[in-house]
Amino acid sequence: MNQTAPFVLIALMGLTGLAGPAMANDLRDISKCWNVGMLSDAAKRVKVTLVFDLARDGTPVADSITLLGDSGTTPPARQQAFQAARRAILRCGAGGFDLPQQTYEQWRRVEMTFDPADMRSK
Amino acid sequence: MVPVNRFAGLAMAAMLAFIQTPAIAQDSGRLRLELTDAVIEPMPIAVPQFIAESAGASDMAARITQVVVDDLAGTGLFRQIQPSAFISQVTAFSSPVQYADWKAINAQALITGAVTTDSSGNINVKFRLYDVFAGQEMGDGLQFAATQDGWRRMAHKVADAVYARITGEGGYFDSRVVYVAEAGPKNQRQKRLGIMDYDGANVQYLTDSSAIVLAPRFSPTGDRILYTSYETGFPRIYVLDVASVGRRALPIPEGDMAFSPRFGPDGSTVVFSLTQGGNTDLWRMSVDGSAPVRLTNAPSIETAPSFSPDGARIVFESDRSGSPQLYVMSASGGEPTRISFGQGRYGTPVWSPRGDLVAFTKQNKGRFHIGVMRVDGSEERLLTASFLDEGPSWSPNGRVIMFTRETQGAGGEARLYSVDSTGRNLKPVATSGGASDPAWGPLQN
Repeated sequence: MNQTAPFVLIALMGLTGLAGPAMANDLRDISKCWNVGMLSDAAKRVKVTLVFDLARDGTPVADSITLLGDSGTTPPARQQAFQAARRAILRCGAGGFDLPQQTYEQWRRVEMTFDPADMRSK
Repeated sequence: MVPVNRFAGLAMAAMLAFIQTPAIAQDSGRLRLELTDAVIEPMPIAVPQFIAESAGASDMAARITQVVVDDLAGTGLFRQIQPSAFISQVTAFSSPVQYADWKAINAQALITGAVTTDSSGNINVKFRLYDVFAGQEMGDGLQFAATQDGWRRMAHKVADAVYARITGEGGYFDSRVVYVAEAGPKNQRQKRLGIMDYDGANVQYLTDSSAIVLAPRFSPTGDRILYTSYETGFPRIYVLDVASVGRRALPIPEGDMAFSPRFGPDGSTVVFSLTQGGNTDLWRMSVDGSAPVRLTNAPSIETAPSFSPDGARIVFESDRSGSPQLYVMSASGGEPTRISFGQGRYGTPVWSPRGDLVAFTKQNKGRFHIGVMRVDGSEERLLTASFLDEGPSWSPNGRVIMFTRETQGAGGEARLYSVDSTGRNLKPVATSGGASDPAWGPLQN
């Protein structure tokens, strides 16, 4: 995983240099909860984008997690891919992400894409 | 805004080209992030013992719960959380789920169930599946009813339903395997056909040990079995009805040898090897013995045919290039295309139920392997390695491969093993004695 990537993109997008890396490092941990081991081959081919809200304490608002888009071709595969991504957000966010309170408006709403393309051969 | 000069911009563009993940950006008041790195690990599940809802059902509830756990944990995709770690106890099927308690022990899925029995010997099993972290049920509750002797099947059906809801693909627990049960020393081995649940339970023997039997294959609906027997001294193909155990031989000309049969996906066609005058070619005929058609006509040995799921093509083994390799041709015959090009010898190809892979046996440098490749021969992957691994057979959902592993030496014994198509979760299949030539049947109705 490229540790410098968030810094580069945040700089390009004009975010503050302090808030960006902090947000990235913490939210990046969702990868550790994104378990694709039990997914079918078809579900492992589905890239999903979810949008969700974070409360001020950094916990994901479960009811706000919605599927914004996906590359799935069959309903079961899309559903399982979505569920695995949602589970990752909720598991890793259960204790609240450690995000800077002063920039809450910058991270209040998150759009996260889960692309398992690199995991299919593993 | 961070100033970006022209050269910095170029450098930035170059870096972006190599950025993996997570990428992060923000606009429109929304933080955007992309993840490409995930973990592959068994999913922790909690399966409290199913509730006995009638007097005398508690033993049955315990046994059904255990089979559900064994099925799911046996896939290597799930890990059972020990009941001693539970904070909440499930005391009634309709009790509200205390999600916080299950989250606290990192249970990602919770399965609750209940069992009732009656004096007539009937059992009813119902279950619910919960996504703990989402705090909601995954699908509606389901229930199954059967007589008491079908209790294992009901447990398998519960596990199949759970597996399908979590993975997005069909299960394989309510299925059977036909195989060759072996007994006795290697030089006097007795062989007979056995049929069992996928997990080795409920064994029944379909033939006696009076003649060598080989390579049984299920029909697509699981009601019939093709196999090869040497009871006449020469190999002949038989069709056996599973329910009645009645059988008949496919009509083969006197003096010819027929072997390596396999059903077509329509269940009415058989493809097999026929040796005539010392040369072995592939043939097909109707399972009633009519309409034989020669598919290959080469001086080499053509054998081990297997249909594609749509019935349009056949993959088989041939030594026409000088060593055994894999070929694909139209199901009506014609010029085959070689698909195996790695070092070593390839054999016993089997087309996956999904249609995307071919499983095979490979011998190379004194070792045997079970492997898979795409149907065009690309992306070959070896899943196992041992003194002798051979004869792969796919689970009904195309996720798992069962095969024979034989140990070395005069006392060597054949056993059945299974492995995930990714190469994970290699494990023996429980059989009461020696076993070889597994053929995995379809899910039962």
